[in-house]
Amino acid sequence: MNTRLQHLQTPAQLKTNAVQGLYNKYAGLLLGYIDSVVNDGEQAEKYLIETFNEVAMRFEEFSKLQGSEYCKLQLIARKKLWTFFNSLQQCDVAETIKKIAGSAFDKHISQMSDMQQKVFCGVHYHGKNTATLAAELNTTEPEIRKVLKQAFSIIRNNSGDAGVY
Amino acid sequence: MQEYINSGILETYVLGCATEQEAKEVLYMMEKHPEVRDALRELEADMERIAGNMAITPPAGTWNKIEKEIDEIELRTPREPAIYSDPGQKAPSNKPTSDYIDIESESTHMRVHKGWKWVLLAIFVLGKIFLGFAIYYYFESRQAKEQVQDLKTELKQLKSN
Repeated sequence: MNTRLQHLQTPAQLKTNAVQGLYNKYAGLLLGYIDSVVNDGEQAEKYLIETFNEVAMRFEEFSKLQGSEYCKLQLIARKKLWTFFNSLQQCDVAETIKKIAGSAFDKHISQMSDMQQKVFCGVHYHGKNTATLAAELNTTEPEIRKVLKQAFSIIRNNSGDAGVY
Repeated sequence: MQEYINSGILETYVLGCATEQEAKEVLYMMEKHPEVRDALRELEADMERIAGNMAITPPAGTWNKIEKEIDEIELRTPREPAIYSDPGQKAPSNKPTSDYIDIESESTHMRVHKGWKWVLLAIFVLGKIFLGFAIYYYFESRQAKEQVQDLKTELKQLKSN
């Protein structure tokens, strides 16, 4: 029955349905991320809408890309947030921690060292690349990548999955 | 390989802060080495876990706004006639055996490229110039003929005198 209905739909309708499927599955996760970056519900919704519109516009490209759907969506959202990232004067880790205080993610961040917090927040919440962070923190890019890896290990271990590769 | 995985490059890739070259390298390594692929999958799952910890239910009308914009995008996107979209598909026609498209009966209008506007304008202007010259030389020639005729008459009159 479903197959027959699909045949009756136009390609545009099929695409809209596919985007809606992604929205139903990931909009909450993505909005949580965007909101933790911009700290403004209205603006976060605007970025969420822009992200899904971008997916609709480049749906074929999106489908062909390798990786998990959520990570691909987050990459698009980060591109949309680029102007916002650029508008940030400096990476205020204390401010970011305050933003996420009380959320389930708070316990991960609070267990990270000062350096790990700076690197993780810099990359995840402030859109910085490793080169910028290396220059800011007066260290090397490989060192930044290692710190980032350690931060991920803390998140994984705290989530009850001890299987660190 | 473990050294590559432990370098933190996969974390940089998953977070979207890898350079283009690094991203290409990660994709290549992922294709070649299953352990890199597994590590990447694990990281992607971590990313979802992180996001899950901070998830927010979107406002009720958000999807409707997205759907509306998608519809507008679809309307703005120029589409080729379905007849050309699939080369394998034959053109629908009143005559089932015909390979040609009956375009005459469908419409009385035709669409041309915008560039033709200037060509047609140039043809129009040149046409006017040629017409002007033609009229000018026509009267010039007629006047010359009349003058010749007058001279002939005068010459005849002089001869007869």
